[in-house]
Amino acid sequence: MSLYWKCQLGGWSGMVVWSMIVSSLLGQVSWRGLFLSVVVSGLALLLTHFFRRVIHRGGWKELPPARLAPRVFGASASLGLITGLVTFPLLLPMLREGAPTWEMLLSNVVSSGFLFVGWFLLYFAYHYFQRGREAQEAELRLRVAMRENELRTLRAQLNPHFLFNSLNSLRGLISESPERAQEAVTSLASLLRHTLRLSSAPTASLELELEAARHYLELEHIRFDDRLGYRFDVDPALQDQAVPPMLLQNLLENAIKHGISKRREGGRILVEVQEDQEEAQGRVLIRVTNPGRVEPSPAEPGLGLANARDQLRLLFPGESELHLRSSGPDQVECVVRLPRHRVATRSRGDRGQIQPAAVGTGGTP
Amino acid sequence: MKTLLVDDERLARRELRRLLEVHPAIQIVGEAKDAPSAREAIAELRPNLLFLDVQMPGETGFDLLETLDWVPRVIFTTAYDEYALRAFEVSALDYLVKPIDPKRLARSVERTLREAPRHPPRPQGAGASGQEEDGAGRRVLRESDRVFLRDGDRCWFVELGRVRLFESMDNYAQVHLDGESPLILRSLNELEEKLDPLVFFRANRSQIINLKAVDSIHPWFGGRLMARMDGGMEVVLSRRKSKEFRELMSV
Repeated sequence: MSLYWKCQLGGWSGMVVWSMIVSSLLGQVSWRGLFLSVVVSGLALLLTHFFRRVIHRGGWKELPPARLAPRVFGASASLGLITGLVTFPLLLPMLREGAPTWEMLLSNVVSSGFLFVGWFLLYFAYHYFQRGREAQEAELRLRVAMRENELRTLRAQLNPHFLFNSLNSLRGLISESPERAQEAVTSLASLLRHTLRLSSAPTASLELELEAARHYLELEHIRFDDRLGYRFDVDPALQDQAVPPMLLQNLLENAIKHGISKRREGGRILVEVQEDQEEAQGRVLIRVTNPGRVEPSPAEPGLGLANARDQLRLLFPGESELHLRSSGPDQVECVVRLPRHRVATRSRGDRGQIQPAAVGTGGTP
Repeated sequence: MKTLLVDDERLARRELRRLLEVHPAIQIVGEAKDAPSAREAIAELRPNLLFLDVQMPGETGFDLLETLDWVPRVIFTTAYDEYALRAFEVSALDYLVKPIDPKRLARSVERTLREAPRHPPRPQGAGASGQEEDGAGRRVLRESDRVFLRDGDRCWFVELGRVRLFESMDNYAQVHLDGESPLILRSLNELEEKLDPLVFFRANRSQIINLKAVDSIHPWFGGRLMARMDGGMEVVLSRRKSKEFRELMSV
């Protein structure tokens, strides 16, 4: 039985019971009285059920309260009139004295009308409430979908500028040093594979990310020659840390864009990964240091860093941070702090398999 | 055709040099790895053609061109830069994407060689770049010299002879061409110093006019003159300049 019928039958039989209770309190219980209230309730059930179609057809549920109110008033009045008139003859034998008056008929019509006002109020209140809940649910579903989508697009692809520049350097390198060109092709292939593979996982292991970062820097080194130097300083115990895919790549691209490619003398990049000393246990610190200055436009952070920050926020809501700050007279560091989470790997030999880490995609923030 | 390669990456320059080997008309006279060294090389070597990378440390290729008083022909190169590509497209500039396709390079080189005779180089004695020195040892820009203008996304290589009027706008000068009027970051005094005084005449405090773009001259109030330019703009000469103009014309 549908909820609608449960409410209809329950409500109207409740009306019968209620009128019996009232009349028993007044000491006026009678078979006639019971019959009368059963007839009234049954008639009301039929009328309201019929009127439900009018509501559906007229699209009353879509109406704003101000436009709905006069309709409800009119409908209650007409339904009340019908019920009042039909049941009035049944009322007559119950009269203790005298002849029926117009006032009595009117009062019967009005009181029946109030029954319907009550019915309409309950009916529309339920639908407004239901509507609100559906809207909320839809919004929630949309937000989840958007978040998944966001994560997917944030998992940065390789920067096309880097890709085409690398291919161009490679073309030049082929005639100059075939061996180095071969190595560079391998590096580029590994980096591409890493990027493609990660497009289906929410997190990657730090180990894989570092491997990709080394390939990336190797390729940039070919491009920039001795203008680019780099060094890694990584705590080996943290190799299985779960990080957003391409996070390190984003940080390094930013470091190269601002710290190397814009400076004629170039510079060195330092990548550090260690347990976070400043905070309680169980947190990891990733730091990328490059020469340069923090550009005085914090209102407009680089797109790459903004992406990295969004990625962190979506993966570790409230538990991660990313800061860019000046760490010396001509030195900038980008610091990422995130909770210690291990990626689940199937076996030690199968490093390529990344599974969704314990963190998963988390709950809604 | 004397050519200068400008790119911050050694391998990119090497590759371009190799690709140009099959074009004997292109004679590579030098390489530069950033804007300052390119500026020096251009002044010294006077190339007819630049292969110019847009993204370079410090100043971009566009920045470099904007500071040149005289620009050679330019073929831009870029790996992938949406901003630069948009600028090339809207301005119909000649550009190559890296890695460079030899066929596209050949097309650009052919076009450049084909169009080059339209701007015949100056007699060697007067300076191949087209710049001549006046009595005081300053370089003078002539009407056939090309300059590079940029305003937002749009870029122009413009022969000075096409400029009707320079107008001062705060720190900028508005360059009135036929139909377009980009702004450049130069003061009128700077421009006046460099422009050929026989062609470009300082009409008043805020305007320099191209005498060859003057349609007609009319007497104006207070003994001044008004010049109606091609395209309909009217320029009123200051009292002092009106006198100077009359003397110039009576010669």
